[in-house]
Amino acid sequence: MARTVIMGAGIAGHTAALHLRRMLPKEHEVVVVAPNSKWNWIPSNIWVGVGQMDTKQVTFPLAPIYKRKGIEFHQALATEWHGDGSAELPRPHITVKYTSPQRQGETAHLEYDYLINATGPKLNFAATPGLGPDGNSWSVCTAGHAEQTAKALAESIGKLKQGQPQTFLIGMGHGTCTCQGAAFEYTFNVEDQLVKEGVRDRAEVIYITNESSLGDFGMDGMNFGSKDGVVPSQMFTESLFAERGVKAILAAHVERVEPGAVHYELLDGTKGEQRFDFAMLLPPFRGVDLTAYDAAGEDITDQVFAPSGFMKVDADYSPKPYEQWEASDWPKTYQSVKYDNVWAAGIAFAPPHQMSRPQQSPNGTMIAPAPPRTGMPSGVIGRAVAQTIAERIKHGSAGRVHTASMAEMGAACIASAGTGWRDGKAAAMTVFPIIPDKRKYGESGRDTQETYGEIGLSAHWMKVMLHHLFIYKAKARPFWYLIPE
Amino acid sequence: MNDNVTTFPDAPQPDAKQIKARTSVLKQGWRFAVLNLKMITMVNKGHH
Repeated sequence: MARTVIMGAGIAGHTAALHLRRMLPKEHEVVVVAPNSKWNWIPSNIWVGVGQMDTKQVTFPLAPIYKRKGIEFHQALATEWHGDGSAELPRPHITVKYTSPQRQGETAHLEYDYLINATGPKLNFAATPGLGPDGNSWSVCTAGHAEQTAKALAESIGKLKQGQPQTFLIGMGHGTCTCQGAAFEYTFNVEDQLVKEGVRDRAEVIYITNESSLGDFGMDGMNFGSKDGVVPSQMFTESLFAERGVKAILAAHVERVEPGAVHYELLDGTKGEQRFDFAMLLPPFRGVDLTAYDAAGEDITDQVFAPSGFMKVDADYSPKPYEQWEASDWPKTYQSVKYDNVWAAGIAFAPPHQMSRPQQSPNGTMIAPAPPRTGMPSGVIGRAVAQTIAERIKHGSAGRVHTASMAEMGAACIASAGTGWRDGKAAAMTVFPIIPDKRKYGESGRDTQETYGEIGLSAHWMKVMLHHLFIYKAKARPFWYLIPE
Repeated sequence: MNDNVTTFPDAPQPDAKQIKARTSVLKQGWRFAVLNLKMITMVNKGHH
């Protein structure tokens, strides 16, 4: 009998748990530890944030699904990782603190044979003074945040209807943020909402970003193949901004958010201030607060985690200049650098470097988008890790090691730009591979046949379809496993 | 207006035909099928 513990029940962790349960006989235990009681389809939070959906449409309770599937669930937060065991408990284990109302504050040790770290990001609002719902800006990172944000947006729209001009500032709340696609989507959904409410002419919509140009998306931009030749994602994105009258502040690091104003620094070192009536600014991510110990009780966190708090896996972390970055630097198996029975899946793994060219201002401020690894790659990595563990349990060291290098997989981003069955809009963008591989694909680093973008109603339909499809899959309904990650 | 706020006056704009095509149910129905096919191909290519 083997026991696999999965920390986290987001896209990567939940996918891994369901696949492991499906692949393993019942005598093997699958255990999930997650601080939240509900699963959240995060890509649809942007629709909650504009009042087009409520939180019940993007979340559901995890416990009934896990009970039905035979997965042990602990609503708890992992705080300590003892990969070599400890004096009081010799087997590898994690220490958790319960967050459920019934067991709030209790602690427990959960032993494991195999461990998946799928803890996702810590939303690091503290990196920028005044950032976040507890400060002076809003967020759509969680369904709860998005619900609050929708109320604030409705208030601003109400003021517009009373004739008061409003400035909407949307984007990145720090120079090292990722998830530009989410901020992009929210920007255009707000703009669409303003049009539908008949108040667009009195509103200013400004996108603030750490990208040095529009269309970078933390991926160093893309070259979309089309029948008319190659279209850079910068041109594609600028065209949409111009068409919809959305303005931008580029290459910006937000230093602090005050009531009604952000203060920022640009790549050239100049400082600026932008006033706003409504601001939705995403936080930077870092790894969750999990401390690792060896058998003697010594803190070994710096051996297993990068300074960013994400877990070190089979990547090439040696520091090297941008020109020497290789697709092969990126991890394939996601196995821990220290333990061969531990993996990181989804956002929890430490990327070897950014994808976009790292830049800093003359003042030494890093203004460099972090690499995105949400959504499709998170799910694919979660499944690959689950397959590897299932093989190991069934066949020992002869079991096949599954790989999911982001340099060998593509990703699709359907960026909503407005809702409605007949007048919805979205930009469908696909990229292959996610990590540019200049050796294989030349200077653009990507296959321009597989990398493309288009705007239209069909992409909106696609976004709606994916919403229902992935929630169906996450609920483990019949034949859920046939739906690809 | 803040000097650091950029507009994109030189960005190419879609013409009336392109804008109409973006919301044409017939055209978009076809694009929906194509998009699905492309994504399935890409997903299969990336799964090992």
